[in-house]
This record gives sequence, structure tokens and C-alpha cells, in this order.
Amino acid sequence: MSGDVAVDVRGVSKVFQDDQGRQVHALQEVSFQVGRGEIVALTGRSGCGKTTLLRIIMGLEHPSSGTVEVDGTPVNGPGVNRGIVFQNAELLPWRTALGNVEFGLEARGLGKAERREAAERAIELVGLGQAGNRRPHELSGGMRQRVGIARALAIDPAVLLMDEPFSALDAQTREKMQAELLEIHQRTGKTIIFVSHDIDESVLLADRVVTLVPDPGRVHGVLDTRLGDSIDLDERRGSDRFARRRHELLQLVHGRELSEQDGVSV
Amino acid sequence: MTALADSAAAPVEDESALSRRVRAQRRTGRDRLITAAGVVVLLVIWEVAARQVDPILAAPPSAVFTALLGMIADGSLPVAVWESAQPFLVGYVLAIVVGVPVGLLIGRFRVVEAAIGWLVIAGYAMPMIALTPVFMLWFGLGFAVKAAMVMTMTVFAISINTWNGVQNVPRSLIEVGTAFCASQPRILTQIVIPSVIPSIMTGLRIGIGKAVVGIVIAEFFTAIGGVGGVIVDAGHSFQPDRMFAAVVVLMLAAVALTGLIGLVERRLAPWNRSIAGGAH
Repeated sequence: MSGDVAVDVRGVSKVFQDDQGRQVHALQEVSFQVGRGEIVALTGRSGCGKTTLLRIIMGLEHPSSGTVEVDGTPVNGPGVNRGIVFQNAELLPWRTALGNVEFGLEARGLGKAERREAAERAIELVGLGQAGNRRPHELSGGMRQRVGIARALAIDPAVLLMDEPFSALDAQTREKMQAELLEIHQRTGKTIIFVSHDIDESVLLADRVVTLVPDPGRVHGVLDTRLGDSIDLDERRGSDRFARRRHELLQLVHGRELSEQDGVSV
Repeated sequence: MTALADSAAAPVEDESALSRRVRAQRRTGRDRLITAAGVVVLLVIWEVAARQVDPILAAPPSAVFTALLGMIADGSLPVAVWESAQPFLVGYVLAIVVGVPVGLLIGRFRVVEAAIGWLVIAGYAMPMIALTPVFMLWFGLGFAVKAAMVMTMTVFAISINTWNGVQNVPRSLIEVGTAFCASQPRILTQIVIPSVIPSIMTGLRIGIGKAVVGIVIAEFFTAIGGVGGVIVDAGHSFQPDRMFAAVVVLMLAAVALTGLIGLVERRLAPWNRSIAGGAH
């Protein structure tokens, strides 16, 4: 295994039992790799198993078959080499923003002073230096999600996993957060895997997009969506490449094939 | 067992939601004014109506107030309150000490729920006054029976609300603990217990009302002093003014204690109040 692979998903299947006891194939033989420092989006229509896949990578769910390796180590459960950002931030309401960021650090047995320092650094990184002592109910949706990102970054994970991180935000806040995610990525060089049902967001932010189709959930194609070195969203959006990739991704998401076109690696 | 729990949980939840709504509404000055006006109107109606009837049957607020002052001055009221307060406190604290852990255990472990969940539901639903005769046999006519009555009246409300709270701990928050590699004890102390505090406080608040009923029942039947004893004595000796004075004292005590619990809750769980109060 080359040292450049951060996450290796191999033949992952997931079978659920629904309420009537029927077997539901949420994922079938899903395989892909994510390079170190890469931003990869998992996208597809609802029911394609993209969130389940992310949860399996996080170790919150176990695959029925197949394996996930992070930095060459098999995933058997949650670990500090992965940090997760939930769709609705999921902050502890009785803790301050800083206290929430510290929560993840507490499990690692760091000293109090070290914890505080790491938490402050993370909260600074997401631009919330002034709001560290506020409780979640005193924060806006965007700020709450920043705290969620800071909490995940604070443990200094190899991989940052994000489950539809911006979908609960209003359009303007979302735009701002997307730009900041790219900045954070530029500064930290973290490997990022995020789930999104938003085609534009996937193309705009990700280096590659893994598209899944439902029944059973499987990889339909992997699209290279690198839009150049600029992290300016408007510049990215204005490029011809963006329009082309966006169109291609739509085709893939709807289950159509992309023959004779570049960018598709599967 | 789950169906049982759900059916038990629903009304309890309604009760807490209602009390939260009531608290939220008390905030504006206009509402306070309307409340004050309501009290005045009621007092006036009572005063006018009570003056029309035989003084053996009813007493107007003015007479009740005079009786109240007299009972404070001759020391009979402070003695009675102190006599009631001691078993009240002992029974109430016992109910917390027993009720909260039992509720936590039932909520957390299916086995415990299956074993004693039904008992808590039955205890909550049952009119405890039916047990008074047997309680007198067991605990006599003194301090112990009062404390026991208060405790049995209160403990089920506290248990059932705690239980309800544990069941309503958001799974997503537990998952945060799991995802960030927190140990089970850490998840319990850092996530489950803080989540349950508002429900426990709801149980304590509802428990105050139940406990007051408990102490009065015990004092009615044992009739050895206390505020309940004053009520019975005054009733038997045709002194409605003294009787109503004692009732008013009970009412004020219950309201004050409920308010106190609310204060403690705001201290312990400030986030809950701001969510319930509609911060959005």
C-alpha cells in the first residue's frame, strides 16, 4: 500500500434489516481510495447509502463485509485518527463552545492546560476566537457548525469526515462556510471526506467526487473535479471546467453512463 | 414493556411542557399585571360572597388575614409549620434519593425496566390515599407516617420523570461521545446525566405538589399537629377563618417551593430554559 493513500475502502457492503424484517442492501461492494490531503465528496440521491458509508469509515457502523483502512490501519470503531462533523453540529448544550471543542480532547487523556490550548487553537482556526465562552443556544447555526468543525479538528485527525455539514445552513452562511472549508484545508492540509447531496457544492469543493446510486447503494463513477489551484469560490464557479464537471456529475448521479468523456476514472 | 413506558411517558411529558409554557408566559410585565388583577378580583368576589353567608361556614379574606396574623403572633402557626416541615423535608429528600437512581436505572437498563417499570407506573397512577390505613399500622401516628406518606406520594413522580428523561436523551449526542472515543462512564457523566437534569427537575417540581398532598393526608388522619392538624381542628371547632389561613399557608408554601425548584433548575440547566423559552 503506498503511503499516499489516507483512506482505503475495499468491497464494503452493508445489509440492514428493515422493520418488516426484510433485508435491505444499503451498500454493495463499494471500493475507492482517498489520497492524503485530498478532498473527496460522496454524493448521490437520497437512499444511495452515502451517509452510511461515511459512518462506516468513522467506525460508527460496521460493514457486513469488506474493510476500511485509514493510514493502513483497519477501522474497527471510532478512533482519534478520524474526526467527524455532524449535519446538525450536535454540540452538548450545557458546554460552552470551547468546552465542546475540549470534549474530544478529554478522551485522549491530555492535561487540562494542553487541552485548553489545543481547543483555543482550533476555535481560532474556524474564526470563533471571540465566542469561545458562549453556549450553543447563544450561537447562530453557522457558528454552531464551526464549533463542530473545530471539535473535529482539535483532535488533529488524519482524516476529517463531514456529513452534509452545510445543508442545514441558509444560503449565504453556506457559501461562507464553503469558502472557509477550503481555507482550512489549505492551512491544515487535512484529508477531507464529505457527504453532500448538493451537486454544485460537490464540484466546487472536492478534488474528486464519488457518486453513488441506490438499490443497492453502489459506486457509479468517480469524477475528477479539480478546478485549479485557486480556492476562490467565484473564480472556481466561473470556470468552464466547473460547468462541464457539474453537467457530468448530474449525469452520473442520475445513473447515466459517461462514455467518451474525460474525467471519469471508473 | 416499551408500549407501557410510552403510554406512561406521554402525560408526564405534557405536564412538563405545560409548566414550561406557563413559566415562559410569565415574563412580560403586562402578563404580571393581568395576573395581579385576577388575584384582586378573586379576593373581592370572595370577600363579598363570604360576608353573605353564616360565619360558621365561610370566612372573608379580611378575616382570614386577621386570623393569620393572630396565629403567627400566638406562635401556633410557626409551631405547626415547623412540625409539618420536618417530615415533609425528610420524606421529600428520601423520595429524591430513591426516585432519581431508580429512574436512571429503569431508563438505562431494559432488565430493570422489565422488572420494576410496571411498579413505578402503577405507583404513579394509584391514589396513595388508599394506603393511609395500612401506613398508620406500619408507621404509627407520628413523624414516621408523615415522612413515609410524603415519600410514597412523591417518589413515583420523580422516578417516572427521570426515566422519561433518560429515554429522551438524544441518541445523536450519545453518538458524539462514541465518535470522540469517550468511555462509557464518561458518556454517562458528561452526556446522559446532564441531558436528564431538566427531566429530573420537572419530577421534583411535580413532586412538590404531590408531597404537600402527602403531608396533609398524613396529618388529617393522624391529626397530631402540623398545618394539616390545624385545618382539621379549625374545621371541627367551626373556625373557618383559621382553617382558610392554614390552607393559604399551605398554598403559599407549595408555590414558594415550586419556585425554588425552578431557581435551582435555572442554575443547573440554564441552557434548557433558554431553549424552552423560545430563544429563536
